[in-house]
Amino acid sequence: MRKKKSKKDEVKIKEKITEALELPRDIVLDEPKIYLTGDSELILENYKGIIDYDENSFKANSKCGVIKIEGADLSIKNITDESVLLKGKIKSIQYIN
Amino acid sequence: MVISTINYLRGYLVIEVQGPFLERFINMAIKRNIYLWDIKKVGNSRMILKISTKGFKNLKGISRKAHVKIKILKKEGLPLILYRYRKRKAFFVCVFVIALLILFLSRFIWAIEVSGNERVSVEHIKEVLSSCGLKVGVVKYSIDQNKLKNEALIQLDELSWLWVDIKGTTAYVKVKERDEAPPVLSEDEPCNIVSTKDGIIQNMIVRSGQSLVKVGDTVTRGQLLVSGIVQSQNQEVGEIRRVHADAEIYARTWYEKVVDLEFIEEKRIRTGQSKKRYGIKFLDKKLNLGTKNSFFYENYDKIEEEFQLRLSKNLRLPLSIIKEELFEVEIERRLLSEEEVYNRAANEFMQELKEKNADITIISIKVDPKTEESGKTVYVLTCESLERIDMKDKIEKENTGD
Repeated sequence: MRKKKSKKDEVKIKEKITEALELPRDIVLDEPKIYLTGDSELILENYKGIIDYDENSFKANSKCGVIKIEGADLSIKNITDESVLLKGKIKSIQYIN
Repeated sequence: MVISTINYLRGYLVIEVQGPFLERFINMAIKRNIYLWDIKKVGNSRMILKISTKGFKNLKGISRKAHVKIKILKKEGLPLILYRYRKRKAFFVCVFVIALLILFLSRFIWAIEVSGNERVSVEHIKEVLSSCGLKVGVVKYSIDQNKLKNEALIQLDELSWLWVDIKGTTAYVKVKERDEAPPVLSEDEPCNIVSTKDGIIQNMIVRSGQSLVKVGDTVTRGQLLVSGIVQSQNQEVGEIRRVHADAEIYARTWYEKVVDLEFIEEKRIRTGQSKKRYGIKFLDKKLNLGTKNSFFYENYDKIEEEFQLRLSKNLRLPLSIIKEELFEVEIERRLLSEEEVYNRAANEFMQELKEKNADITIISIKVDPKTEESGKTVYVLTCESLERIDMKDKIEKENTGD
């Protein structure tokens, strides 16, 4: 119980420092970052593994929960352990918690 | 673009992965630093992706853990092509030889381009440069830029600046011509007036200074005409003043030229017949393609065009394609009258003089035949003209010291 609380506090402190110093959240807090170019190219950074992928949807885990990207004719152009480059017609981006 | 080129050079495989846990397979591959790209899901349990040959070797453990089946669809990339052609030794030797040849040939200078000159001809500049060590066919590393510039500038007195840029196999020579600064003298600077030509004075207007010659006098080049050192009229003062002499002096001058004259005029009339042929030039050696003995006409005009081959704008090769076009001509000979020939020679001489001397008025040109000792007849052109001959000449301080 005590240990859990201290971890929570640690996150809060981290968040406060980040905000005070205007540090990029995605780097310091390890939160996902999404770049969307038009509706055809999407870059997802700081993800934590793919959950599901097929032509019409792509699900990946992240610190903020599961990110679901829906579209048509999706393909993974490029994938590393930090970022994913998706191509295809993108229709929606949502968090599923 | 860059990444795909690198992938191509390294070689890659297109594989098909089949199984129920494809996402797990991707995650595991990424964890092990196996690079995957162009992943495309086909149907429910199949996907096609690309993987580097190196990554494919590390894939075995993963495929068992993720329960997937892997099938190679295609192999692509440069290593594969090399592997396929490994037995064709002559091909590799050729590639190697060509690469060496290009490397070797790009050590030389194959073209020189001169820019920035107006009065000095390109041929003259190239001639001087070649005597200083920069010519077509020379190894470009052997050129000492500073030495070349200095030597060339000494020989080319008309130039004030010269720069050599070697780009690829082309040497770009940029020059700046010396502007002949007219000796402008300010109005209060003391000066004399001297003659620029030999002649007889026809007319003179002296505005200031003491004139030493009068109309009708014969003067020679460099002779003092109007002095800027003026003795005051008032003997008591006896003062010598230095003034800025100013005068306009016109004189009759003569020019002479000995020429050969032709009384038979040849007129070349094209008959409308023409032929073309092509050739190859390597350095100064020329090889004609499809040459026949009957190629030339009896009388012809030839137009030659040269196209230099180049790999890029700056990388020129010592190879040129030459296009020769021959036009058949008929020669018509006509005997000209003496008057016609004389007039023509006189006109030519007049043009020549007018080009050399800006403000010259030509009074008359005479043509006289003269037999030389060898028995040959030559013609002497004598031109009488009127022109301005005054030139200001600064009085140096030490020369006029009291």
